Amino acid sequence: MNSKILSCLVVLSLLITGCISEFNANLPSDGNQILIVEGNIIGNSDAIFYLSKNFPLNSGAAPAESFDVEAKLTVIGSNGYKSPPAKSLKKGEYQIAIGELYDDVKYALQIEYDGNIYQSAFSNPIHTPGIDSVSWAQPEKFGDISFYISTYDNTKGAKFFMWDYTEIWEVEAIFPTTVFYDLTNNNYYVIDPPPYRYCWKNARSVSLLTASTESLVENKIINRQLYQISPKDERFSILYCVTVSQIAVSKSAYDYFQNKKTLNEEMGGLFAPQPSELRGNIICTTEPSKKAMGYVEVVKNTTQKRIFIERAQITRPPNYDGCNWMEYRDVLAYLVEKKISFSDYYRMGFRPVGDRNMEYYPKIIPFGWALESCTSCVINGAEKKRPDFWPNNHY
Amino acid sequence: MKQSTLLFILLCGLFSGIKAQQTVSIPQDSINIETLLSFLETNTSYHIYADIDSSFTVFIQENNISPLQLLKNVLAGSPYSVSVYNNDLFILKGQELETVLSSSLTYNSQQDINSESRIQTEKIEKTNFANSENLIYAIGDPYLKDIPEKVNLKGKVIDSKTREPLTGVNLVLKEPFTIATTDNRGNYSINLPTGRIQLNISGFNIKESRRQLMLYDHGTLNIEMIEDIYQLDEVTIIAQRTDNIRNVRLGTEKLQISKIKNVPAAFGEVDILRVVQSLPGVKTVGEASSGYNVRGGATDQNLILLNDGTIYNPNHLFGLFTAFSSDMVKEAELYKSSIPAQYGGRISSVLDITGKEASKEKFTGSAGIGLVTSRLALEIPIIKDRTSVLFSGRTTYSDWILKQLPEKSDYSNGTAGFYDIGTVISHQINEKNFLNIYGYHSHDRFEFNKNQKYAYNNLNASAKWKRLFNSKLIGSFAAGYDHYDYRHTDDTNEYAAFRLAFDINQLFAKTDFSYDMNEHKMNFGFKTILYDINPGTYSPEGANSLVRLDVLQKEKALESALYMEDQWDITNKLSVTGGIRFSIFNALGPRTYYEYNQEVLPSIPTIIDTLSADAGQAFKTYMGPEFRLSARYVLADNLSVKAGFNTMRQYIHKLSNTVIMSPTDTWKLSDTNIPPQKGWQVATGLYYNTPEKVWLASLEVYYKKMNNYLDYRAGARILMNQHIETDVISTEGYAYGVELSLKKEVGKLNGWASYTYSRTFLRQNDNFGNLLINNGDWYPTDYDKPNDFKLTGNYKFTQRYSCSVNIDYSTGRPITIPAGCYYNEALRKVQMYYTDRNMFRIPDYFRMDLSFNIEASHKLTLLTHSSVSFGVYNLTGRQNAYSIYYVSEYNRVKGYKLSVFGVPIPFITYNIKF
Repeated sequence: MNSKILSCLVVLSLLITGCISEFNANLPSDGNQILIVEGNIIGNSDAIFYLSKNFPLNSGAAPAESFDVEAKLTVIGSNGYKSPPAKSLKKGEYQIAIGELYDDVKYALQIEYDGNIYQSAFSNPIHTPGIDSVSWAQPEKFGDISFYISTYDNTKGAKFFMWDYTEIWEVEAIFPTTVFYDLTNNNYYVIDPPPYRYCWKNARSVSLLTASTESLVENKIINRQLYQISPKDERFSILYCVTVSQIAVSKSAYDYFQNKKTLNEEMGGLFAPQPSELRGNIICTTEPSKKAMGYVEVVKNTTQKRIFIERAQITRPPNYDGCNWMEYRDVLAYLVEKKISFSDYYRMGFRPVGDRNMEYYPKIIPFGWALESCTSCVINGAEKKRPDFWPNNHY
Repeated sequence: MKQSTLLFILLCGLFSGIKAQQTVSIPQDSINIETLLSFLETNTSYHIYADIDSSFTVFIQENNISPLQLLKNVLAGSPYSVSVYNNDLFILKGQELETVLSSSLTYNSQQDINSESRIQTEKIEKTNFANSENLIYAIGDPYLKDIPEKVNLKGKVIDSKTREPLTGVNLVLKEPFTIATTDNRGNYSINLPTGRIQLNISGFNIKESRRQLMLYDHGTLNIEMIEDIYQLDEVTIIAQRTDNIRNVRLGTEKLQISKIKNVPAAFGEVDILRVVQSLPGVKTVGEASSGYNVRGGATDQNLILLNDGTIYNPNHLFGLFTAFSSDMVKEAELYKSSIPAQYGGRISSVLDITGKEASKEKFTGSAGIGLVTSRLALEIPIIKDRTSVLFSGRTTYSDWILKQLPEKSDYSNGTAGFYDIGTVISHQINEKNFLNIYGYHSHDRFEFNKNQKYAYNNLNASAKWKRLFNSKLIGSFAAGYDHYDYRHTDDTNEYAAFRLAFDINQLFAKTDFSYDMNEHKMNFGFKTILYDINPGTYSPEGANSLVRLDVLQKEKALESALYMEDQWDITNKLSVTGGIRFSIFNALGPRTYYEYNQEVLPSIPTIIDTLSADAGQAFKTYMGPEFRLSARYVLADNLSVKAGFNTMRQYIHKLSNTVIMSPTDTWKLSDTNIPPQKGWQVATGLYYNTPEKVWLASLEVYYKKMNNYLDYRAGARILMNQHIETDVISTEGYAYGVELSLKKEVGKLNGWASYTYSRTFLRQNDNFGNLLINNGDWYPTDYDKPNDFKLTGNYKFTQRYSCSVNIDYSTGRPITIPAGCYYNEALRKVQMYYTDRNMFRIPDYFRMDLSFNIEASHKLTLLTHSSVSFGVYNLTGRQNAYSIYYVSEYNRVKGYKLSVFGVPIPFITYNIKF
């Protein structure tokens, strides 16, 4: 036996990367027309149903004609119930006023489209329990903020849940101004208090959120994470609000939406399952070879919970907003140098900045100019639409 | 130098005189010994016989002297000495030869003075081993009245050092051309003409040699062979020296671990499964994929045996490495078509891996260090020539690899590790009884993130007793325990934190006999396996978890098989093998099981009866014969044709809906609602060797049918499903193909190349019409890659330096792509839908790897031998698609290509042998 020790190995510096690249295949289009149905029969509500048509994979965004579906929609019940006919809100969007749904009656959605009748499977309405709590946590300083839901039902035994949520948050202009420039008259005017100081933005959940208590000893969901947001997000710049809406669904609806989520969001991993055909609960009763896709669930009610988070409640790293303003005197010098007018400067995207503490006499003069995105909150999709329930005194 | 050679030389010397003096002059003062010798041979009348280990340079100090003196001068101080007899010069290691004959030999030699040879003959005893090239071994009694024309010679070939039997050694008589190959116990049997003959002997890892025989009668000759120290001498990368012309079976490939070390591998590690995957007829769905597909079969249709134990998950690190270190493997044999009757239980192929036994003479070891793993193997003799222990272990530092994998592969934020250990205790009880004890354990763990953890283990232990009852009958008796388990924990939400566990346990016992009656070689035996599967336990993890404990009922079964097979050499040209294996499968209680309405799609509402079986009660039995037939006809010495037909049955099925083997695959036994898989294959082939066996060519054609393969309904739930039979669909399949292979096993350039054209299709065929994948039409499998070209070559520059290359090209595999999309208003996203499976193909696959191998030293006197391999995997950096997938990104759907190793990957491995 030799006592020679393994000599030191010079490990080559390695560069190993797997990679993901975009792939544009010349894909065949199967030319089949499929009716897409979206929406649930919800008791005591103005339920919205969306109808559309499929389109080829490589056509990019949904073409306008895919929403070109004219149909007659009604909700029918096994007791002979028939809802009033649906109101068409816009192309492919229908609203049905649905009354009280009874536990022992089965309901379905009926669609008359293109000379055929499509119908969802009849099923009894499912009672949705109330949401126990919607909570949030930021476990680490400057770390992501996670949102959780807890719910339970020990009366009706709902075991499968789906959620969606609507977010609303308040944003504020960096340099809220009371001084404005009138391009036609080439002069300044004042609106006080600053009208574009506070705005509101909103968003909806973009991912299917489901959970089941099927394998749990109690019919309880505790702190199921819904989503995460970075504290740097503008959502937390002043006041953030989320309203979570819950429905209880049947096992087959749960399986359908779980599979839909897998097929659309979870493909590509080494161990991703084989994609397969997704079958909903809608069939064409008059011509069975006509395809339809979607799952229409029958729900007695939905439940909601809303929470707010103020900026001060979380830790937020300092954020550079990219806004500067140029003093009025320097703006004048700049215009002279460039031989341009205020109108030209305005058209370049700059706006006056001034506030109520300024003396507007003898003339209204701003103390400087800045980019429009710094002086007005109506930017990047924010709107002057203050929700009724907004708890602070910002308008 | 061997004693026997000395004898031969001594005898020659008796009849020779000393050659008259000549002188010689060399025009340079330093010269390579080989050059010097050839100079002398050309320029003097001497014939030079040299046995020099390796080339070295000598210095000429004095010229114009006799060649003998010159050689003596230049070799002074070296381990070599020069002797002269008659016109011949002998350069041999060790002392100079005596020229005076020892008196004890005088009588014999004088007696033979005018016989055909002036060479010593030795009457060989059965217990002795023929170890000399130059002795003539006499078999039988020369004074026998009726010396037959043809006799049968049999015996065993062993390694002179380790005393282990050598498998796949060829014994060849040139005229008339006759060949025999040793079996896996080292035994051979050959029919030879009587009289003086020479057998040429070759095999892997052994020095080519010959034995000279004087045959008078049937007899036994045991042969000792010397291990070839210079492994690069025989640069055959893959072993298939078992003669492809004479072997009766089709579609067999034999791999010798010592010979695949030069094949470039992803991380510089000798890896037996990677080499298996480079053989014709073997496919995978992509890089880093566990499992392989043989001739269109599914991944669960391959039986992988390690020392008789079944390996359920043969992979480490998602398939990047084989689960057992190559240090513990001696050889592996893959049966793709003619599966011997002793094997059963899977319908596609058998990979039989034989563990290495440690040397019983000398303590040796080896160690290797690479970029991903380190390994150590020790061979420890306990009782000299009787008992030895082999220990091998390997561990990894692999977290860094995961960081390199694409984010989408799910692993880039993970950590992973593995180890495996193996041991073989071999004990020779006496000359006729041998006992081996095998142990093997492997462990893998990985985490996708800190909340999701996976682990799996293989454990095998077995004992095997081999007995030589007489020269015709050999028996072996083995019993063991095989285990595989995995567990998965997820505590992302502490109130729903769970642990999912699966395990499979099997006890097996088997006996195998081989009985040799010259023209007939029979194998018969019995095997039984007792399965005990825990199909799933779903339990709470942590104190706050609300998860309800859910335990699927255990599955137990007994699978037994009796087999008998005979290889009948009808004439020297025609041989047939006929085998039958009768297998019986008993699904055993305790079990509650369901009877479904046969007229509709089985689902929970269609249960018509719930039945229960008591403990040990066989509540369902399947049985049937399996036939294994093959025939070979030799058209010419180097040309033969073969045909074969096989039927197989399989009683255990893998449950998985992923394309590749995944760590959470579970296994399910056949029962009332899940019938066994059945398959048959018919194949024929043509085999041609160029003279001297420089090139070996073969062409095989096959057609294969599979029934009762399990596929899944759309959206099937695989894990923790109490009614899995309602989610599976019985599927049938067929495959056909042509495999062309060309090998070169000798010379500086060697390797093999193969081209395969093959197709494989599946079809769901239950009677309930709708809900079938592709509407019940045939569709290509995930591994249907029609064109496939593979090349593995090695070029030896010198004995120390060699270079290897791998080329792999295949048609892209079929995948399922979305049939179209639609807009989802609630999510404000475009969504996709799928219809038909596997109707699109990913781009073709091409990869080239290169490696250089340096053997640091060839000197026998060195205590350690080290070697270095380095090279590049995926030299061209081609971004081969592993998959094409589509993801919904707001207002559109985007296609992506995932490549696993999309850039060149350099590797280096340092190995040391002591």
